Amino acid sequence: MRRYIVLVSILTLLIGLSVWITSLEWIKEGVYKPFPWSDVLNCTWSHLWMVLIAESIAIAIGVPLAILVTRPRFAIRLPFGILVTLPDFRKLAPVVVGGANVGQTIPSLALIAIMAPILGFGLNSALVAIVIWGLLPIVRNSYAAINNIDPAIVEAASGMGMTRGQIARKIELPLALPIIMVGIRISTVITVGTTELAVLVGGAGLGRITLTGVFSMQPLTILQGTALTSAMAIALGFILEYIGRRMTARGLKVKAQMS
Amino acid sequence: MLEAWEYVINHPEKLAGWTLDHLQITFVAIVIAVILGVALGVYITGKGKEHIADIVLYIADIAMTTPSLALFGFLMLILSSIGLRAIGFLPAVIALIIYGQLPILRNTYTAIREVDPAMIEAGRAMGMTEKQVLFKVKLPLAVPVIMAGLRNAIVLIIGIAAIAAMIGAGGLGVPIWRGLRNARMDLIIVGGVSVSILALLVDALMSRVEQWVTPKGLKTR
Amino acid sequence: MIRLDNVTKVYPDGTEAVKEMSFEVGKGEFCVLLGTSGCGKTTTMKMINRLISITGGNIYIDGVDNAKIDENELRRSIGYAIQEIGLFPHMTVGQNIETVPVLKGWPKAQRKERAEQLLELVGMAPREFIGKYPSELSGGQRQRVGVARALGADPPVLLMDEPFGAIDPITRTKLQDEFLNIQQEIKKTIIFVTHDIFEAIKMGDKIVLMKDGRLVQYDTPANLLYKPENKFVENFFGADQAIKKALEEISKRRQSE
Repeated sequence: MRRYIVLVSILTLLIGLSVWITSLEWIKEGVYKPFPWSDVLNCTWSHLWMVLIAESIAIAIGVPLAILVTRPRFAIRLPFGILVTLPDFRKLAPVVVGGANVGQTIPSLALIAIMAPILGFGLNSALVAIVIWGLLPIVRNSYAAINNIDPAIVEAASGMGMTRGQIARKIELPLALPIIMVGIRISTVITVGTTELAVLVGGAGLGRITLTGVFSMQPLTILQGTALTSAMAIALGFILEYIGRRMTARGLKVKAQMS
Repeated sequence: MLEAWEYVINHPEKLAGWTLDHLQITFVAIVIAVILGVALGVYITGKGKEHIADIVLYIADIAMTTPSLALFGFLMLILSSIGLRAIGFLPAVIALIIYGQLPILRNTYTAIREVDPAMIEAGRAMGMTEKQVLFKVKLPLAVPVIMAGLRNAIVLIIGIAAIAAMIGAGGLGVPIWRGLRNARMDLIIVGGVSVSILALLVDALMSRVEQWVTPKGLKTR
Repeated sequence: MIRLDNVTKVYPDGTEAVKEMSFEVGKGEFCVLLGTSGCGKTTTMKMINRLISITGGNIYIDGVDNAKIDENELRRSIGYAIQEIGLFPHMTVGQNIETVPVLKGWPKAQRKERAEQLLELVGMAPREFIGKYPSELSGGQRQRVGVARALGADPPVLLMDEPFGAIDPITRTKLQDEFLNIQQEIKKTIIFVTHDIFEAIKMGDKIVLMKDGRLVQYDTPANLLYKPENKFVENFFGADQAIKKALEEISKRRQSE
């Protein structure tokens, strides 16, 4: 309950701040020249879209990649009865996880800025940069989530005659899901922040307001953009935490409460 | 790529200057962040402070969620409204300290909370005072986890210090920002690559230090 | 019922975990695999339901080579109980017990009836426990659920790997007694792995004593105590006179029952 109070008051403060600064617009003789309502709304909207698109791509790449590198040799049945045997991908795990760790060490600004010489300025290079940075927590958490499942549980399942697919669906996925969701939450929150910087190489979003403020050294303009960005990060983080809790199997929750 | 290399060859003193600035601001921030983070982390593990701990950690989590640009914005506003310089070293260092101490605070708190109660009891049973229990049992056992937090914090600070260059903090962010504003690709590459290398090097160094400060008995596990 | 014929397990790195094991367990018999840790007893057991692949020899179940049965079918027809950690934490007690019946496609009503029946059998009130999660149970209760789960689809054979390993001695004794009573009723063929001599003597109709992957003596508890075939067996059970006394006591009590 106390947490909800903190959360709601911070969100109210942030959004209120931005609204207040925007409403200063009609004092024309003022020193500050804040962005008008239409710009603020547009930027918020496009920021949210950038985050959602980048995050969807990051999840679509990151989770399967992490799952893949925990799988030993296995066969999958494609349509038309074609059977494909995949090699043991676990050997790639150190490369993928190590790569994710190294990637996380590279500062976000450096990663985003370097996209300009490589891919040029534009929406695409902005997206590529934030997807890469958002990918890392997802890969790391998903891998750890699956890899840390007690082998005794998997063996018990296999000893009872579950097939590999059944173990993956009925045992591993539900057990790993809460931690995968933590990865997705962290990644989303980070992405909200990196999206703000991604404006530098041609992205859209609230970064446009913030950076205008930065380059003209106007703290109020900076706040006009960043207050909303923070609010978005906090709100998305909260929503994803809630979803994560809903997705956690009840038996796992009981344990968390008792410990 | 080639132009970037030429730039480094022609202006080595500039690169060295930026790197030194970067290290300096990171160092100042991390030292203060460690002191604050560990002290606060230890404080909120105290008896009867569960509510405070809950709130502090929650606020720390939210602060962590705040994009770095936002934090700079807030600080600039606050500093200028109390009549201090809103641009330069001071706001940058304050922002870095805030960011840096969060991983340290959280890890300190968790590490101390997770010390086996049996060991604490053993310490008390041998007649240690609360202070001695803290310094001879809890903290040494918590060191590896605190160090992991410190490592995270340093890497984080190096990255954010690059962003802080935009409010005049100096460092390797300077060529990046300058390059982005003037579409000078060579400057972008020089700044981006060197700050990445710096972060990777320091991270590798810290992983060594982490091993080195871990009490011997804990390593065998 | 279960016959091991020259069973050998060599791991890819060259370690010989099990060497030329041969023994036969009759229908309804309670057979204990006994030995110090690392002697290959668990490996031997896991080759029966093919959790570990065999590298030499054959295992026959009801006269059929187990290598010729689909491994999932094989495992669904063999109950499997391990230490409490093997319960699925995200499933209720009822769902845990119904695992194999679900895999076998039993209708829902029958599964539920079976789960209730089994909880009753292991001495847990179905109405109270069927909807609980493993984390809400005590250690002893989890072991019971583990046993009930192994009996889920009424398999003729039961493999048990130290199923009472991780609990306090008093609860342990109680569970052992209860399980012997259950066995009187259900008459399964059981392979039971343990390193606890007392448990072996108390529970087993027959004991396979193993050392370094080899079978040392396969006999009734009484014969192992009174007619050891060699020095190793004699030392294993009777190095300490007090222990030997206690073991003999347990053995006598069993015979008189």
